[in-house]
Amino acid sequence: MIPLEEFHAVVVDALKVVQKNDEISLSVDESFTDFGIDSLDSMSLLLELEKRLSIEFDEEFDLFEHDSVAKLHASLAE
Amino acid sequence: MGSVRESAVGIRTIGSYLPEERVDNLARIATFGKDEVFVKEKLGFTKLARKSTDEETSDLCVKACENLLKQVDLPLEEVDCLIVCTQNPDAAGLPHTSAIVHAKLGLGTSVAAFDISLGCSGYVYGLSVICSFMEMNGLSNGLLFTADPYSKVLDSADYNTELLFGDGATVTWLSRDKPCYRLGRSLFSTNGSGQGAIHVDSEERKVHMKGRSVFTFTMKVVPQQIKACLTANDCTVDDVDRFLLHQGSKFIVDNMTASLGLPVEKTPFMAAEYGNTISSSIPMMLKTLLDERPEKILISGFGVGLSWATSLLFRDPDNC
Repeated sequence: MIPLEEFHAVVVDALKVVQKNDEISLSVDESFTDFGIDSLDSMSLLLELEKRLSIEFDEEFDLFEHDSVAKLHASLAE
Repeated sequence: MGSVRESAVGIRTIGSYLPEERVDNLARIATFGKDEVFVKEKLGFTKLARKSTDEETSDLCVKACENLLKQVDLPLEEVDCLIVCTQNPDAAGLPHTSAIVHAKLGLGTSVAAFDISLGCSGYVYGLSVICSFMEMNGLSNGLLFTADPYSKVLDSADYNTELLFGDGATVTWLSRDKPCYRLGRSLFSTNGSGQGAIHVDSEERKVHMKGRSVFTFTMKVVPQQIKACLTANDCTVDDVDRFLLHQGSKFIVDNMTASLGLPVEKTPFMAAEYGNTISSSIPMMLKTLLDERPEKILISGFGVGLSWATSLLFRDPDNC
């Protein structure tokens, strides 16, 4: 798995696409929920991450159970 | 490659029926923990058409046909075949709903009638089936019905499905005489291993949907098929006047539009006031476009199965 710092940059870039907003700023520990990601955005974000990281999330994977960049990174590193 | 387009049978016109009753999604957002922006901008469905409990699938079809007959002069005794595309048939599906529609319309015994069990890809499949069937057997007039009232199988507590689906029906008149649109090359695909993504459980008879699985499937495979269909018909995005994508949700239509780089004005979302009507979603839109007479219309349906299908419709300038 790529380092957290690099992963953070990938997630932020993916979020810019998902939210159609180039001005996004998200810290590694900030909650996706608090940031305003809804259930449909989470699907788009996971799909973007799959494309960018050449990975595949399990179909049962729930972004909100790993509700920050740091927690998501940790789950992927397991 | 142009042989299919030269088929004598094509779409003459379309009739539709939406029940008057509406479920107001905005009035119940608190129940489902959603906000107005989510309903309006993401799901896209502010209202859902609902049939009455005593209205059967065949009744929806008959009402669509009655509305068709108000628009055009189609002597029913000249109908040679009818197909009903549904996965929520009358009763338990035995007898087939097309036979019940046949009886309610008072059609003669020489009429061929059968059902097709498909969901959101059903209209695209159905067009190919009925055109081929009519060509093969020298038939002149056919009726392709779509009616899949999901209200029969909705779980009222499940916001994954309860906020999405509306009831409705359409009927497309296919004719050898003066067709407005002819069917181009169509592409069909299936991934049966994804069948669990949208299914009705056998015990409670309620529909269940894994939203992310459906979204991921849609975004990964449908754009490829749309591109391949354009190529198969010797067309580019610029050649096509409208892209009628199955109205699964505004979110899916918007994302697919962006993924394919399609002009937003060419990919309408028209189901805000009645919901996702499954196999009826494409012909509902197509009906409203027939008066505008765009030259080329791409139609793409995707969902239950998993099944997806795409085709291109070409206007016949001699007839409309």
